[in-house]
Amino acid sequence: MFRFTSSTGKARSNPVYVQGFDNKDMDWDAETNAGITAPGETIVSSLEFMRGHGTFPDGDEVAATVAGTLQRVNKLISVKPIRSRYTPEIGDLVVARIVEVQPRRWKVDANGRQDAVLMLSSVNLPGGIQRRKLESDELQMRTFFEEGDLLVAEVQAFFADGAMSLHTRSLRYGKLRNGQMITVPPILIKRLKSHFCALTCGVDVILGINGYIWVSKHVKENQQVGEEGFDAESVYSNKNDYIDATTRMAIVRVSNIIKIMARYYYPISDIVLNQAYDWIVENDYELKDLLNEDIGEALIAAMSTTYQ
Amino acid sequence: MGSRVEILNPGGYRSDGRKQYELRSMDITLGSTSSSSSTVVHDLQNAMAHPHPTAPDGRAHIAHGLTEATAQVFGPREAQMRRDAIHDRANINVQVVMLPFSGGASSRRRGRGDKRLLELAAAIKSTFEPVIQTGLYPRSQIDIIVEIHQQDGGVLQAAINAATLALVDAGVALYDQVVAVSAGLHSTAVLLDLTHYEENDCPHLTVGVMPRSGKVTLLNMESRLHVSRFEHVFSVACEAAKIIKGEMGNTIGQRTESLVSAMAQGEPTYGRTAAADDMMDEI
Amino acid sequence: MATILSKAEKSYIVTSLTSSPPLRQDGRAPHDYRIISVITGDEVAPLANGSAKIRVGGTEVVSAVRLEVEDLTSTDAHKGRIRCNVTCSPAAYPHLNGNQQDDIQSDLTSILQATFTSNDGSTSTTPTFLHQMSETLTILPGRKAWLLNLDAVVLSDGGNVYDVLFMACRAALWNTRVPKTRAVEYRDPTQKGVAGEKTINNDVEMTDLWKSSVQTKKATKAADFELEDYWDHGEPLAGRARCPIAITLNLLPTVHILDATRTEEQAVPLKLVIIYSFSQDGDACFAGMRMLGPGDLPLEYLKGLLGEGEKYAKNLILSLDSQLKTQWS
Repeated sequence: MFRFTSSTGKARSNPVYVQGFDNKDMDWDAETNAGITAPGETIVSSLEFMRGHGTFPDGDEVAATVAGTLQRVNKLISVKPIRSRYTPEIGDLVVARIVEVQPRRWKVDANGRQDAVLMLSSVNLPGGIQRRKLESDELQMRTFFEEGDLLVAEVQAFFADGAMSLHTRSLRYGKLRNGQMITVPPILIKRLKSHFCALTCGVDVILGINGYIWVSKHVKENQQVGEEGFDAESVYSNKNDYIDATTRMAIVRVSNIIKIMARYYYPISDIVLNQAYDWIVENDYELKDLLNEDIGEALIAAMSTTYQ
Repeated sequence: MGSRVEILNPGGYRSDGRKQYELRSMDITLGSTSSSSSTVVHDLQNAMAHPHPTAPDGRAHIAHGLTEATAQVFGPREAQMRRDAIHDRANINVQVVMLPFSGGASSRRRGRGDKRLLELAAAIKSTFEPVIQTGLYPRSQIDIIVEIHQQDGGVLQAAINAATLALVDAGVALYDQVVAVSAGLHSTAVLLDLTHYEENDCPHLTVGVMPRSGKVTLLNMESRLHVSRFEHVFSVACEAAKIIKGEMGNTIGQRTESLVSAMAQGEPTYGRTAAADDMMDEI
Repeated sequence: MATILSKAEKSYIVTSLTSSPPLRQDGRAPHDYRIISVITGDEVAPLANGSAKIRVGGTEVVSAVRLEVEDLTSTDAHKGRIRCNVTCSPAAYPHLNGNQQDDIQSDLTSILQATFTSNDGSTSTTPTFLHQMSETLTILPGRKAWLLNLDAVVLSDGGNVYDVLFMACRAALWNTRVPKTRAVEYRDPTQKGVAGEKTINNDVEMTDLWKSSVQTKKATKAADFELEDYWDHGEPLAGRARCPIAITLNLLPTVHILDATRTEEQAVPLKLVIIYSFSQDGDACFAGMRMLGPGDLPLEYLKGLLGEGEKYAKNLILSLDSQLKTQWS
């Protein structure tokens, strides 16, 4: 019932004792690892390169503005930060949460630098895909999405200030139910062909590129909403389906696996999740064992070796 | 005054055994610290893994001797008060709290509106405003929250250094890092990285330097110092900042390296492209 | 922008808890706590007389005890007293503004203060924790005593902040060491007498009797004291085993959970915070109770919960104490 950790103190790196200052001229530039940057460090000392994200020009040199890895594509240099908020691109699939309802649009939290916007004109309205927007819709926006609702959407465009505009105009997008959400650093989500993953254990996972992951009960292909009867009842409903105990436990396992991946900064994809799940089942661990550090470490170690 | 400890004794040693130009031992931690395992790089378990505005984007802890400060960065994120949102850049918001048992001059509790804390926050904000690339984050807000866990002199120094590290950890774009150090004068001897006891006795200043350009972005002095002495103290402080920069740079580099290798476990080519390696040879 | 959940998420959590077997989001059993990390003493606040940092999942609270000498006025009790204060780091509630954070601070301070400073119900056979502790805090009866400042800081809140707050306070009080003092009296050297005797009778009319061991009923006129020990040695607080702890139960009509995460707290907002104190013999005593959140409880259900809560509290104290004993005797 009560478990205590074995760590007895702060996990401190070894204190560094600085011997002092001996009045010699010290050089500002430290040795840099190939490819690793830190803010303020020089990357290149020539202007022949084009400068992308994460860099800025300083006289004759190009310097990094974030800690991360150097990326070069022909003449374009950029730095990809190793830790950062989500930086959206058009076409990205994101999982987001409604935070505010405004006239004719919703403000949505998508783990970005600003809240994203979901316009009323960018959602499917009940009664058929081609239905025109009525005035009454504007007054009843909460019947579609209200504060707190989770949805899956795609980045459609950007506003002038960089805020994203989302849309849910595909049948696969819309309100989420039958599961729970996990947050991970966005950089761990690899860009895949499809972010709707059906795992072998009978659980669906939506890997939002913004780091929000939705783990839910599997929905069979043929049960997904068809073109003709766009049923508002089911699409905007808040009611969960019946979910049996096995599926619930599978959802818990997958959630815990994702948390472990995030903890050890291990990139996440459906292949990885399937492998991890199989490993857990093979080793016959209980649901809550995954919360132990040792088991987590063992899992990551097993994953790394299988990859090689 | 037999019971008074000398600031600098004839042998050149200070009250804590350091020499004149010696800095106190530094201990830097980037990111969360709650796990003892060295392979855990991002402690999501203890920061909740559900939609939570309460997990910081960046976090760092620094100790200079007995002075300890933790900085946490939230953002860039949507400005919480619409009136705070600036249309073309980010709004920087700094708060400083001192834990009640942090020691220091008095044991009194400093509330939210305490003048000293507001001064510190204002100094930190003005230090970082030109350093953060705020133009990249219009209408956003970046919150820097500094907690002083223990005080033994050099509080502003620790706060600035912790804030720099936390901003780097959060991935906020910076033109450069800011490294701060305190320096003081005892008769004609310049002392670096003063303890509380030394600060009470000697005129001292805190300087914040941007390593790349050598430019100064913070200069804070609350005591009286003779004009002719100032330049010497100031230049020694700037030199000392390089040493602190070295330590901070090492920690940042190590952490970035460990995160990159962690990611490479699952994606062997991550971070290491042939193109990047070629380019490093060209330079 | 507070953390809000969708109706579907809340319903999922509630249905999982009410299904059989009950299932929580992270796979814990309904009465399991997250992993608890306890750090005490010099690693937390070396300048304090006692300190502890407790971390349970995403909730972290630091608590420290500072003793200062206080002159007792005649209207006060003759013993030492406790003063509590809770502050929250702005990093704990980054989505709340200053006033809302102040509200939370006041709320936590008041529950701590109410628990630790009420002196009601104390009898000679069942002294309360405070009564016993006050004895240790006396320096010169009626004149000087230690004022115990109990400061707690909420560094982050990932759910279940009440339990963690009380655990941190208990741990801090556990490793508090009260410096031993000796009453000292300074006398005019022209008078007969020796300074430094504890039970000296310095009534001027009875100077000739100073050698006798007769003790009068008058309070000693010792005017000052000196420390016998170094600051960091000393004796533990008497009655520290009786220090109260809190157990928060988040309630559904048929099931209750312990140590809720923030998301669980939102899905199951009705909760009962019960504060227990245990005597040496293991008898439980209520030191406070709060029902928070929307909803109501049938009386029978409430009575059942009080019994359950006692079991959890006992377990928690046993586990926590054994952790503390390994770090501090």
